[in-house]
Amino acid sequence: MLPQYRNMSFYFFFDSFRGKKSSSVQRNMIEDFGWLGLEGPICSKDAKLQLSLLEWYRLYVPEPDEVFFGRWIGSSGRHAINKFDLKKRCYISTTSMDAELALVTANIALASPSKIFYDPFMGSGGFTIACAHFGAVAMGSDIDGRSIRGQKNQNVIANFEQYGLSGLHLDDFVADLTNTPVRIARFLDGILCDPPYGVREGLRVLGKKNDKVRERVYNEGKPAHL
Amino acid sequence: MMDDILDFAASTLVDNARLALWMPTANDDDIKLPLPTHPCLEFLSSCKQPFNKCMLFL
Repeated sequence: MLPQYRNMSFYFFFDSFRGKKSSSVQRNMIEDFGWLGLEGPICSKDAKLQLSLLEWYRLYVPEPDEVFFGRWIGSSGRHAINKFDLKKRCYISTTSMDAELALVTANIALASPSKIFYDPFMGSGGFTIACAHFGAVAMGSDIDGRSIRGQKNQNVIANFEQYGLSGLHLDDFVADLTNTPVRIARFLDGILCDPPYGVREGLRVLGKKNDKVRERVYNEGKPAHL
Repeated sequence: MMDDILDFAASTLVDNARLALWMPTANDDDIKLPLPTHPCLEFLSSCKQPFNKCMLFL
């Protein structure tokens, strides 16, 4: 045991992939490491030296194929899948995308701080939340304003508040992408889309069926619509 | 509709920005749908999700 670790606070983690061990067996395995000669205090939180025992099983076998032992240096972001689980979210809809898929989508689109991301089919805001989790400023729109506005305490704003991401919530608006009010200028750092799947079969768009422009009505010289 | 999405993306994304798009791999008649392409956008990768019958298209 390297001398600098001897007196550090430490803690052992046990993790396994595709297999399980009971906590008493885990404890015995950890105690087998007594020969390490660690003399520091055991701290379950914020130990300076975090040692990890990882088991890796093939499918359906009782004993692991490989066991890894090492010092924990950093985690992946996978805990987010649990945090953003739809079951825990305050506002979802029938079209809400699974939390893991939304996070993967935002991740491979490279959502990160100081970027602006847009979801033109936001629904209940799953993608925009995922983008905000990675630090991007997120905005969304949907052809149906009701899914954005939701109800009194169940809407997209409430979702952002639930996760403390309101600071990265740019805002949302109602629009149809095929007739978008967005100014055509290059400002977006990413677009996440989960379009309605009737994309090949024709779908709802906003606008008049009859494309002829109606004549403006004037009231005393001013256009009536103003 | 897919063309509208791609056109919008091509005109509003900055350089090297990404569009991540979910689309079905086959329509109701089980005819495989072709991958969308656009002259200004480069296809990076796709990720099939068989249980969803959809594909994540980057």
